[in-house]
Amino acid sequence: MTDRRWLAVAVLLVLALAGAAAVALRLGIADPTPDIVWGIRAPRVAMALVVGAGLAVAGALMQGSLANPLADPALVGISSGAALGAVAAVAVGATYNTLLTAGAASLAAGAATAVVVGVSMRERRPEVVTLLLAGVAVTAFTAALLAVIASVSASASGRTLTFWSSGSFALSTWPGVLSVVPFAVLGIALAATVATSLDVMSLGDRAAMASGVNVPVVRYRALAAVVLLVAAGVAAVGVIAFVGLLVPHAVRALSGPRHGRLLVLSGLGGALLVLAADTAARLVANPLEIPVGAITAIVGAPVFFLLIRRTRARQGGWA
Amino acid sequence: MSPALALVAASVRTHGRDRLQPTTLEFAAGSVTAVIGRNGSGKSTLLSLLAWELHPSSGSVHVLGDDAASLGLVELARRRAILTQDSTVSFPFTVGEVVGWGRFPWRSTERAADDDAVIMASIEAQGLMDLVDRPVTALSGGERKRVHLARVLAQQTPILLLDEADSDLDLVGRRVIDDLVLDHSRRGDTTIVVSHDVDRMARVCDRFVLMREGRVHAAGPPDEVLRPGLLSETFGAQVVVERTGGHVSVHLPDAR
Repeated sequence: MTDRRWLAVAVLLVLALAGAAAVALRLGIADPTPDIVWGIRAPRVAMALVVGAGLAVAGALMQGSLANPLADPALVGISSGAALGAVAAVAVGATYNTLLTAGAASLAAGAATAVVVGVSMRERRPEVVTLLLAGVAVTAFTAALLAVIASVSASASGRTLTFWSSGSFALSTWPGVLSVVPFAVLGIALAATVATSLDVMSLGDRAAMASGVNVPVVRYRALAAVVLLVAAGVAAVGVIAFVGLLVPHAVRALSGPRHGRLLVLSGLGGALLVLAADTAARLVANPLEIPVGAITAIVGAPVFFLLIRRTRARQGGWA
Repeated sequence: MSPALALVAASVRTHGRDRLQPTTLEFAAGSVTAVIGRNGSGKSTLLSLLAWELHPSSGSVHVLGDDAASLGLVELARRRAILTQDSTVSFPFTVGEVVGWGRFPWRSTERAADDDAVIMASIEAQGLMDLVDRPVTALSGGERKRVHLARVLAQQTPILLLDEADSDLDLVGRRVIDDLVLDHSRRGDTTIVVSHDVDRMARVCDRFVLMREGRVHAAGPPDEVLRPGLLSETFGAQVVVERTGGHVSVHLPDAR
């Protein structure tokens, strides 16, 4: 894989993104007035780009920092934790699509991350399957609390349980986009500082430490970036699963596993996938909308199944 | 000249259990030492302590004359490399990329200018030229081990620690490790090997450390240490030592 080829992939992705955005801005509107295009459709497109990029980069960071090809923010309970944080904040007086709600989502997602990663560590090394099992437990717990709060709180009831579990860009606004962007920028900046170290961490903790990588610092910095990249987006659009799994694996197949380019191309690919999924969500049953997370899951779940088989084979089986 | 590695009254105690009794031990520069003993006797604890993967409960560890506690991870990685049995790589990086990680501790130093030459020389030394662009995840176990050998070679450290790195290798793979150890010592570098293969170690090592129940039971040149009495005490079973020509064979009496 030459350097020129991955740049070519990047350019192609940017072009595809521009095309997809142009289509998404216009398609499915009977009367595309500037008010509708710029007031309703454009923030929706912008939100899809920011959230999609964040989810995919977060997936790549989790997989690299935990040496776990099966990691995805939604599958391990981080997204679900963020949703709970957002709903809880709104129940006690915050407003949707604000920095405050995004911040509350980040705190809750950080707590969920600490729990699942803490449980999955054995002798200070992360275990592949335990992380996912811990994710099942955290997701069940946070989703239950979310259901309780959403049922009893009048202020939080503006968004349905389906919105939280399967995601929707229908409620995207410009203030909402602006509540996500600062978190995404911070997350990307943090991610950029760990790219080279994540490569070496593919050796496993012991060999990476022996090579001079400060594994705990790199791991927690990467996971902090994951929280920043995921939580604010979830607060705005709900949980969209499998983006963090699908995109990084597709990018690795295309341009190799090096994290520098993986993070860049995953960001572009995630933005493209989520924008395309949202456009499909609007159009396939027009005038009805289907949840965008349903589309990513229909594509992602079978791929997840294949990845489970492959990872298990590479690790020589799980007890 | 100060020793390459030294333990000064260093002990390790974890979970309320003494893993290593207070131990004082020096490893001269250029020496090749084999650490042997039964499972759980403290061999790997000793090696992890020398590698500063474990920190002593009391006492200190000195690496090239400096207290290891005063050295950062990167500086340690410039002084000692560690090769273990585990050779998995989580993602399909190429052979060239994995060997290149050996240069990680030399980033942003003057020696980074040599990176390409060192990486290529290490790959060539392990006979991996044809595989340089192949993903390591597609290689056989033996090939993967060579990749990691090349990687620790590229790290260019004066100290090499092998923690049962030979345990999953066939005859040919073990010879590759032995050659590496001999090359390393000819250059004046220091090597410490934890292994269960006493016969082989007798050929490549100039010193043995016998571990028993968390303490050094004996240490010295092969002729002094590889004696039936000492080994029988170390392993808690009657051990036979046969010397034929230049070779030593250490084994238990014939099975009943």
